[in-house]
Amino acid sequence: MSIYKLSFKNLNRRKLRSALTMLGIIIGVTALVVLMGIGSGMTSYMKGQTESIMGDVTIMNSSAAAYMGSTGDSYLSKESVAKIKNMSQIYDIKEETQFTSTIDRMPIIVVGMSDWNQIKINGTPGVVISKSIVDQFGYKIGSNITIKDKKLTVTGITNEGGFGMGIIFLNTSQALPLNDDKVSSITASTKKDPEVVKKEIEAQVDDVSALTKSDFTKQIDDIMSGITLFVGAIASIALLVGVISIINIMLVNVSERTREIGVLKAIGFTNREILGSILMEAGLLGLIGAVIGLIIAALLLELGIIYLAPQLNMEGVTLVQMLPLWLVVGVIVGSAVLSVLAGLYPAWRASRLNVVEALRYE
Amino acid sequence: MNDTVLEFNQVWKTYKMGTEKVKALRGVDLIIKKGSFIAIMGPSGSGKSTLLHLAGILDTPTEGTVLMNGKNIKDYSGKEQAKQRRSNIGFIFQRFNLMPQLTVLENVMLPMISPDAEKAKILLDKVGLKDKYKRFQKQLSGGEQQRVAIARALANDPYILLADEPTGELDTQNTRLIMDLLKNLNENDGLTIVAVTHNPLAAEYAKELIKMQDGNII
Ligand SMILES: Nc1ncnc2c1ncn2[C@@H]1O[C@H](COP(=O)(O)OP(=O)(O)OP(=O)(O)O)[C@@H](O)[C@H]1O
Ligand SMILES: [Mg+2]
Repeated sequence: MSIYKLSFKNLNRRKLRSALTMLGIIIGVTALVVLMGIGSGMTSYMKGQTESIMGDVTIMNSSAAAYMGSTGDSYLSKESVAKIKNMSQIYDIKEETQFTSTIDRMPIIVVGMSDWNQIKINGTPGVVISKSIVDQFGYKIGSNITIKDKKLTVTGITNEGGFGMGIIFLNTSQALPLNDDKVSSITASTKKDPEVVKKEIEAQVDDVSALTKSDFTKQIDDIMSGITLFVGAIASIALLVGVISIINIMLVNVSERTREIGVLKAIGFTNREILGSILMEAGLLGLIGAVIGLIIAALLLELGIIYLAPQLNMEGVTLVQMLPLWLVVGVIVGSAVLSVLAGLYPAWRASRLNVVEALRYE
Repeated sequence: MNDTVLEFNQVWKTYKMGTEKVKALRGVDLIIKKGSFIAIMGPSGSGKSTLLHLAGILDTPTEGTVLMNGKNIKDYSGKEQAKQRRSNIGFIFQRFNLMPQLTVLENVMLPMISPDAEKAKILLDKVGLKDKYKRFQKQLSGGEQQRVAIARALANDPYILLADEPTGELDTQNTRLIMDLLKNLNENDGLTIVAVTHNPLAAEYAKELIKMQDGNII
């Protein structure tokens, strides 16, 4: 029977008190893990999507490249396009175009598609309109729409977002003439290492940037980790409140057990052992709280995957993506360590108790 | 000299209470020999518990020396004092001896340096608590609790047993039971015992009687 087993047993003595203290940790951990999990899940989902749909390199106007490949209304010059098309180190060259227009004065985005597999369509490829346009104008498959004086017949509908902004997907060959043959970007496969080809393209063609898959994923990482850290920091406040309540509760426990601690010392336990057992008890509160919080967070995230992900067009995002090992280990270790730290002051008080005075305490 | 377990030389113990000083012990001289069974009696506040605390290295004297097996207890570090208490000294208090979150058996095993459930059971059998291993403190009578405390005090085979009013809360029948137990331990196992008591009936079991008054032995 070691004194550390007492720490386990002590948690059971005041069940409600232990449970309420853990509740603080549980809420903090759940909030932290859910928010961080969403961030991490979105990051790996976006990276996965990017990698699956992108060519080896995407070439665009340098000014556009600065905004994470969103080309907006900046285009490659005619000379650049011609030069790029003539390069021998790339093949499978696809021109992409994208421009803004209006339908009945509502701004919309027209996107030229060279690969229809990128989006999920209800209907057939050709002229595909986004859900928001359907909602707005009541168009359906077979309806006629007019873009830049050109009449088109809707062939399909997609759920693909644009965050409320209407999008019309056309074949690139159809979209290019509508945009005066201006090319937003060119994607291509490379015959050599994409990183090498990227440098060659940027050296040979003026004012263009070539982005590889890893450039995109790195940008996604940068932006998402910033957001995730910020959200995580806010959620950490909840966890911190839980940890502080451990200081409080352990001080109460220590003072209630003054007499007991006196007996433990009288029968020969050292101050260090007393200190250790109190730290252990505090650490256990944090550890068990963190594990429970993590389980609840995982359940919530799984529910989110089942019920919310389809609506957000994020089907295929997995719990493993949302709960990477570093998050799980980090939260458990972090919570336990913080709780042990929270136990330091109460434990120190317990270890410094004068034996004789503690024994006189009733 | 070799059979002296404890030796008090002109021991003074002063407690500070704010600016006031309480002289709990005033120059106590005492020798406790191996195998003795001493009862300490005296009015409340005469310093009995204080003396016992010094004997058990729970505290150190303000002046004078307490030698345990010839060694000045002041020379022990805090950690060594704890180690001495754990392996060589057994304590029994008037009440609240046991850890309420532990079973009887676990309480006896708690201080064991090398945990040994069989030995704990033998000790519990010895104090007449066979079949109560799994009980908790609140499921025991006062007398049974004190018997568990005795078993626990013997867990590491100490060479001295110190008891502060071990029968203070017990009726006559239980007082006799506990004192019989202590007497047996002293006579059969040669255990040195010092017991503080208010009860003349309990004191009769001891081989020697020491009376205290105003911080000294009279
Ligand atoms: N920590 C302390 N601070 C101040 N005074 C103390 C302290 N401990 C004991 N005293 C005082 O020292 C004196 C002796 O106390 P002690 O507990 O040794 O008496 P006792 O003989 O055991 O009495 P009782 O029979 O009531 O248990 C008392 O006057 C007591 O008030
Ligand atoms: Mg006393």
